[in-house]
Amino acid sequence: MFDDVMNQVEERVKEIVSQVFNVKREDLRDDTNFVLDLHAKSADIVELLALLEDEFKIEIPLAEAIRNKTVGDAWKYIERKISSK
Amino acid sequence: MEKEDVLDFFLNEAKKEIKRIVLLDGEDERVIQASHLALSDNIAQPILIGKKERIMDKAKQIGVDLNGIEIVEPIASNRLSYYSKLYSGIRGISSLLAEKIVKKPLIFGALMVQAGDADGIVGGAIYTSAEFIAAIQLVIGVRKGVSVPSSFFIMDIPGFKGGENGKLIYADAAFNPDPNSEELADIAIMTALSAKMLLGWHPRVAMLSFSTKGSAAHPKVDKVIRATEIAKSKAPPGIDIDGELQADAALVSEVAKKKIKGESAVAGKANILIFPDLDSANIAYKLTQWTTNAGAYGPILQGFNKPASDLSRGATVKDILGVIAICAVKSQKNIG
Repeated sequence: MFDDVMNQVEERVKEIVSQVFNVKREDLRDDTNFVLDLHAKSADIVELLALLEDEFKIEIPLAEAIRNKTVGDAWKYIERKISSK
Repeated sequence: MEKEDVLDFFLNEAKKEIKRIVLLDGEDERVIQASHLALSDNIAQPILIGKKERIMDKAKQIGVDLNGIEIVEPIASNRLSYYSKLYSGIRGISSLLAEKIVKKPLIFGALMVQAGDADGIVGGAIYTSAEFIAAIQLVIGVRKGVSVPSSFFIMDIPGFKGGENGKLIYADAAFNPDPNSEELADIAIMTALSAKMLLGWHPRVAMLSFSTKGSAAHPKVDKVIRATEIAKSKAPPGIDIDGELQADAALVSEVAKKKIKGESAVAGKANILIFPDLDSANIAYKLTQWTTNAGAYGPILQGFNKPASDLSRGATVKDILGVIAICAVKSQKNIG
């Protein structure tokens, strides 16, 4: 059960990222960079965090979040957060 | 403003017309205490955002009466669906997605102000300034014609005879790291308008540099010269702006007379100092504060369509009350 949840994290994070940045899910790779490739602005980050917090029922401090530069960094970070809950 | 404590000035002004101020950090003890004082001293009508049960428990623990204070829990609010529609319109996203974002107190609070359900918003220690400002920019927006939001400090300097009865305004000492000429000009104009409307000053704005009227040549000087030109051309009537000036030429009339040929409405008698970047502004405000025992009130945010004020993490109950009052006075004067 727990493994299933973890396997879904990558997909669920990528789905949310694709919604916030209005890009196709299949165009997102693990090395897609939020700032360089998706042109993330601070407003996008606020939205992304709100949606990720809602989806995974966790709290994500901005100071921690901004260390995640790529989509891959982001879903792995969420996985670690969930497993340390 | 005469020789009066800056905080008392804003507390007294706020009492003239009661405004509804949203407090994001509703579960924080200091915010609960400040909201009680704001209501009982007729400074503002506070609205606390947070979990109702937690806020009531916390208030009970610290013996604070919250009678008459509205508590809003975004997830249980009957305005959630309206705000979600409003937000989905602002961002062009689906209402379903919007509803998830709007539940976040930061966005919900900003939407309360945007929808006219509150007059101003005060941020909290749970959000960083960057998050707070991003959300306000997103929901409430930046004032038309202003390129960047900015901030200023009111410095109350003991023994200083110049400025405005010993007070000076410094900008931008908290927010914009390296503004270009256009942004610097907007910071100057916004700060002048804030001083005029909030404090009743006649703004005398000095655009600071390490050069006075061409005494040094450098790209950094050029930036300030260009900013001065733009600010002068964009400024509404009733604001005096001059530059580029060194700090002594801006503040001391004897130095101004020596360094400047011709007339200047600002040199030697500036009451607003616009620093070329965040390094110089932040260093100057902290040096002034700690070497002269000056009162430093701020950072006061400016440039938004509606009033929004940030709280520093270490804010005391008195500080929070002051920020509520400043936010209320901004709303009275219709300045964001």
